[in-house]
Amino acid sequence: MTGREVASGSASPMGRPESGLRAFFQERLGLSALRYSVPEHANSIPYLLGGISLMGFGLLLVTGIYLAQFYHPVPTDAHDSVVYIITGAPLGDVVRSIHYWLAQIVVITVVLHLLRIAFTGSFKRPREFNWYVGLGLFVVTMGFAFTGTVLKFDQEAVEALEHNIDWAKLVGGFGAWFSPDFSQSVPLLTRVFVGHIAILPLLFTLLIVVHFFFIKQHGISPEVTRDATSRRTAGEGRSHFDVHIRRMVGFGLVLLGVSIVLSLIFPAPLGMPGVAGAEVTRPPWMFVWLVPFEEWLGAKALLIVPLVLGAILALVPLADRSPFMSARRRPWVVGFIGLLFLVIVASGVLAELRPVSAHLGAMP
Amino acid sequence: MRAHLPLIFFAVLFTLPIGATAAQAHGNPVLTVDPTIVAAGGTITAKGSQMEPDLEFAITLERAGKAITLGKATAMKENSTAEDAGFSQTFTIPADTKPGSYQVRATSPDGDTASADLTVTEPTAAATAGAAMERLASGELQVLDRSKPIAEIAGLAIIALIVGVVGVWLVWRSEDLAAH
Repeated sequence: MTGREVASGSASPMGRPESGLRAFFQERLGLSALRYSVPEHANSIPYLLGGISLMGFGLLLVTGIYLAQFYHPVPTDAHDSVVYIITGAPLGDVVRSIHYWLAQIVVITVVLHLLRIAFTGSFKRPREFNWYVGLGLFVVTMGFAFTGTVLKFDQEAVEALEHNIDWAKLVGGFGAWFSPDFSQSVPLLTRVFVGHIAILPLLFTLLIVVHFFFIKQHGISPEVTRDATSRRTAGEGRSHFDVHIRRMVGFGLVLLGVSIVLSLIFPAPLGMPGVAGAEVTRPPWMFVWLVPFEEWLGAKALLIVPLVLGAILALVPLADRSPFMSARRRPWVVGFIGLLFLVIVASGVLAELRPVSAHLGAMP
Repeated sequence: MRAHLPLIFFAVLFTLPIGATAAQAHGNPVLTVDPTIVAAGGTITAKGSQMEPDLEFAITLERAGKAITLGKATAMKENSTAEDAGFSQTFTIPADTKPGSYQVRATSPDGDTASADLTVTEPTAAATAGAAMERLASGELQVLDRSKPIAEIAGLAIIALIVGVVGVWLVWRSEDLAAH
């Protein structure tokens, strides 16, 4: 150990002396605080899905800020500005396509994260509140996907916006913000843009901070074995949180690389300029499963189905109160959630296979 | 007097920027348009001020990097004692201008510019030569030229490869890296 290292008194958590640069940053940033114990299974892919989603959100933020420099959120100009992003803005087509592909992947990782939590019983005591925070983050994610779809203002987007207006009518006063009548001076599209770049990011930030706080308090849920029961694991484990972060960043970079390749091979689509009052497109895949329900129940399905799904997910921690985490110990709950997921997938496949039919304005 | 020193200090401090702003504004061309919302085919009055005398400005209508030339205007002194010059001139917005938000820009040969926002709406019946074409809804994708230079594709592919390899390396070596 050199005299300087002795003087600074810096040593790595492994007991080895730290290099000058490392000691410099350690003294000022205190990064060793991130080297707390976590169970080894916390670094496996299923338990990293939340972190991978977060990396995706970070990349979406960066690409979104770039796109916002060229996007014009007024109905008369929105589609043209997207065309300009694709054909005129420097790297605009690639950045928009990366944003598009990252959004698709993040929705998938968020859904998989939710399913992992459900199937491994990670919502159980003492983590019930974090389940609800996670549901809030899921709703925000879908909100991002929906508002992002509307912004391009092609035919698919205009139809999505009309569904939004139908939904606002259904919920009455609660849907006032989603109605074009809310503001006489600013178009609904502009307010959807504000939602996409300001309101939803704010909600996301607040919820993710609480999500992290609870994870730090309770620790990651225990590894699932046949007799494992839910308990607090904070401070336990042979691995460390900085390993978790490195793997998150690593997967985040892989995500970026994959998105760039996808963007080059399959650029993000853009439809023809939207014409109001027509229904000739299907919604994006994350919403398409709602179409058969709309055809069955009319526009009120837009209210009923999400409410029922939300209620079911909210009831999960209340219905599944045994301390056991293994799916084999709780077959009914796991089976029901699995069946629910299969119904959603089947409904989506059905909607994709059937011809598009108009169902807007079918409100009773 | 000493008791008033802080007051004098802050008075000077706050007055300085005002003077500086006024000095800066002097000589920077300013453009306004009236009305600020106009139907395609309608007319606007563009007023320039704080301009160099006898300087000719090109007036353009701009949006998303595209510019439509509206005409030219020459800055004239209002009277012989005035330091600045300006113009007030009427321009017609072409009837085939797409509705949307635009900027009217005055550009001098020296590169001095001033701009003002203008919203163009659908053309009025008088401005439209014939019956408007009704656009039909289509679920088809818009066909755009999305070809990219080979260098751009190669550069992006290399970036994708590098970030992917670094990512896999970080995942693969995370335990070892963290231990050091």
